[in-house]
Amino acid sequence: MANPYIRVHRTIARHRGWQWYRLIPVLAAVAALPLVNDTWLGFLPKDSGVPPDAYAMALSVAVGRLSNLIAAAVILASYSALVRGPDRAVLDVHPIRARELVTAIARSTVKTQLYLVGLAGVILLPVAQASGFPVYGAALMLVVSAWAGALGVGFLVHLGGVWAAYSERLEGVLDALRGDNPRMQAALIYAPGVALVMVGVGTEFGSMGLAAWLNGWTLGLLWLMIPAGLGLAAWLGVGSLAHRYYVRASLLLAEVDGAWAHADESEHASRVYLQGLAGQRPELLRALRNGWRSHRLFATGGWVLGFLVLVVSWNDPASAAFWGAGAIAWVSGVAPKMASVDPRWLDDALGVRRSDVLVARAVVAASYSMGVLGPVGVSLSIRHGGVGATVALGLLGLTIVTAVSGAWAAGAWRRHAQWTYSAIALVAWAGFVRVWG
Amino acid sequence: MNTTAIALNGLRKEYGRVVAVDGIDLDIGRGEFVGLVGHNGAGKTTTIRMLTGQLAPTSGSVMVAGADVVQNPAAARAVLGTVPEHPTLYEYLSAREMLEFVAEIRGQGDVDWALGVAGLGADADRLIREYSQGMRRKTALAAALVAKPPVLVLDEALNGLDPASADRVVGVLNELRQDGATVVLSTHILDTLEKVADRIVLMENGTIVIDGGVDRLEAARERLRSAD
Repeated sequence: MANPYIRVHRTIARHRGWQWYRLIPVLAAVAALPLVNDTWLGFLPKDSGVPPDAYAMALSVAVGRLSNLIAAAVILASYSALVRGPDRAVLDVHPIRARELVTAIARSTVKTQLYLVGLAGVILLPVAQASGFPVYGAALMLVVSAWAGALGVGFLVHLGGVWAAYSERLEGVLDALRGDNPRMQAALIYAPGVALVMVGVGTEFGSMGLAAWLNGWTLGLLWLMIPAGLGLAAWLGVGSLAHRYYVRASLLLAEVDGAWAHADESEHASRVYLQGLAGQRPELLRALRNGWRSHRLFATGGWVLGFLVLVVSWNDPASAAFWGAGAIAWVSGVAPKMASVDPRWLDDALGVRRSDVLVARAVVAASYSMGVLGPVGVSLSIRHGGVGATVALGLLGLTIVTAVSGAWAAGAWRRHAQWTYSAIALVAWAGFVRVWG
Repeated sequence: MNTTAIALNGLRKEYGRVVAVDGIDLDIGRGEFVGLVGHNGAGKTTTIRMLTGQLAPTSGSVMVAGADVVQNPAAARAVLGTVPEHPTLYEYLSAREMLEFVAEIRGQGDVDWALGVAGLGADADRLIREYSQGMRRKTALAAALVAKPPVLVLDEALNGLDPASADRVVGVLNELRQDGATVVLSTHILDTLEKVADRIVLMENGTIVIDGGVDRLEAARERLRSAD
């Protein structure tokens, strides 16, 4: 094997052993599927004699949405691996062969994200039952195509983000977009969104191809490969960008982190989002600071998702329940994420009560979820009266359940908390959709 | 022949209104052993991070063995052996595997020698995740030394090492210097520098306030004491 980075990744994988916990979401999907099936794929006929063209459009839209969700997960994973991954921290003081290193990182990302294909395979099982395996295979092919496309496009766009951060021509654009963030960080912040739009366009064509194939146009099957083709084309440009920008990304990150460290020293920035909630409770203050400084995506992302759910479900409380619950389940994932950078030895050394830490993380998760619950709950209550208010109350209950279970998973499972929580969240979401959807 | 190993020209680093390093100039010749001293916050680590290409200067330039570390990081990294302030290692490798990997990507290296210098021989096949902080620092040091690069930049590399290990490492650095390597060692242990350094550079508030031979060590010590 000529690539030393691949070989070292293999050695690491051998020492680390089988990462059984990556199967947790797949098993959780098996458990959740019966609960959510009527809402998720409720259009599928009970009678297998119904021809697929009768529900082609609904199926292609549902599979397209699933493909986009999977693509989003892969794009975020590619960002974590390529930009903030462990290889960069270790190799920053050594000479590197960037093309080979990025190839090795991509290979590792493929392996760690394969569970998403398994997850999609489970989620789509009702299609096999209702429509037969050819339709199931085609639907799964679109998901796999989006998954592969997200890998190639994700790597290209994240490296392109480094170029954009240094580009003088884009200074004005980045200044307009950056908000309170350092200018150079804006390029990295928006890179996943750009990648998702690119893959999303490909997925849309793939989805149209699926509908066309279900309606009898054989060549529609080829369209399913459009996202993967996009990813392959993007990958062809990755080597060149890696050579020019992989190392420069380290300088960029040092600049961004340095800017934040400086900002955090100033009086204004020493206050964090929702700090007023802490009062005289130091554990809650620590959790709020940890959440805002290390995982602010959950706080800001909650508001973004809240308004997106509001828009897509304005006329439909059931849709608000489906998407709003999913958004809340995701935002509450901040609690287990916090545990990953919050060392237990510190709690032990300080004599902090574990229950205080659990409550603090739960409060942070619930508070961040208000970004979803606020806009969705208000719009439901105003637009749909009593029915809407009931769904909003249900979402509040779900917020409490997911926030507490996220905090519990964080305390009990620590390193694997995110995987455990994802299983709990998936089942909680499915149960909620079953009752309220 | 160019005898300058490291050249810092007008090197400056700002974070907003905070000036961490304030336009310093420093030439370090080949085979020199330079002790970089100063209080916490004096600008030593920021200087070292710019010197090793981990941080871009706001203005000024850094040349290592004739290569600009920002414009040509590959060439600079090839000749630099670095121990950063907070070294990161692959947790699921043993120290031996880590050094074999570093030797491979650097194109050369003597793994057993580096393990011996760091005093890791007996623990070389245990996973790094099982190591104490001191052993991790030793592994990072061994990784910086394994290919015997011509320029060594070590940020507080002796911190956390027991006295015997620190003495052994300093002895090896001295040998490498005698073989022509350039060494920049940031440390709080001035007594160590007295034995091996050719030159003392004291930083305060982002500037160089003392730059001279080891005969200036007492002046540096006095200045550090008076600033306490």
